[in-house]
Amino acid sequence: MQLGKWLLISAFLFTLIGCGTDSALDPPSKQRNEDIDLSEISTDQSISQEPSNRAKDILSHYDQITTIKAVNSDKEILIAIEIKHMERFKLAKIREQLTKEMKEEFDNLKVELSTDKKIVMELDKLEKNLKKQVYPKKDLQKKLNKLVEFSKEQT
Amino acid sequence: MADKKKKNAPPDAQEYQAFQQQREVQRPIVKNCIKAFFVGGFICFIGQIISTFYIYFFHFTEQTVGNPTVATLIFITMLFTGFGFYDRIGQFAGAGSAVPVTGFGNAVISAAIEHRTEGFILGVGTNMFKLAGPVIVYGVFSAFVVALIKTILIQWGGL
Repeated sequence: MQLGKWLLISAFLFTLIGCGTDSALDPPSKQRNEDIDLSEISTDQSISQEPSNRAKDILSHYDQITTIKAVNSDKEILIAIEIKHMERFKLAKIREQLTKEMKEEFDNLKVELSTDKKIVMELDKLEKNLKKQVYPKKDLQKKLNKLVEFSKEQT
Repeated sequence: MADKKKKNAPPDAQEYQAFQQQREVQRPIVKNCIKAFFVGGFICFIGQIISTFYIYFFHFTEQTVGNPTVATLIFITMLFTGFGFYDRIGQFAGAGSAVPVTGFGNAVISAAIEHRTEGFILGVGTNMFKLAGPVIVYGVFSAFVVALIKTILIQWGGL
């Protein structure tokens, strides 16, 4: 009985401590985090991938991020990131904060930011393909559209 | 409640209860908790492997992978229950094997197996959700209450 009471109290306390986080992201450091898995894609595609590269550059200053993939069309940009494992407790907050930042940065594009593993993988595939060959404008747009829809899929 | 009842009991009964309590084998709560923690964690670990498998090799995102993972886990539980293996795990781990979704699957399937001899309609059909029924009823009911609270908070609380 005594033990159960203590277990309950400590469980309650741990819950309270666990909830007590304020800002989810550390402020960006001045130096680029070199451990991040990212690759700049060529800008001589039918649609310049300059915005994607800029997004990668901005996000690479955050220490919590481990992978960044991004591809854009002339209307939208899809960014997928992975963060350090223990930071996943704050995943929703981090996603919200970064989405806001990216939306401010690219106000002429529709911004989608995902933290989904599958989207990271799919974007990685697309980036590799973009390096190998030049995509026609329509194809890229179509592919990106499909991925954005896929990333929003709910059960 | 229980304490009040004890005080009202006749002295003989009180004496007996004190006697009985001294000799009763103590429930090993901490040991049970640790067992449940590790076995339950292991079941979740298998679930994680299955969902990672689906993400890598099929067309699922982290959002949508939940459904096939649960279905697979329940299918595996069905086999384990049928072969009489899940009972052993349950005996050893207690809540560790009952709380994950596999426990729910086991509750449905073992009831179905048990009442198979009474026929498919009145046996399996009526008894299948004997234990799982309350889970569904109170799950839906508590979801309704939470949704109600949320709606009220958003509508009038300006959350």
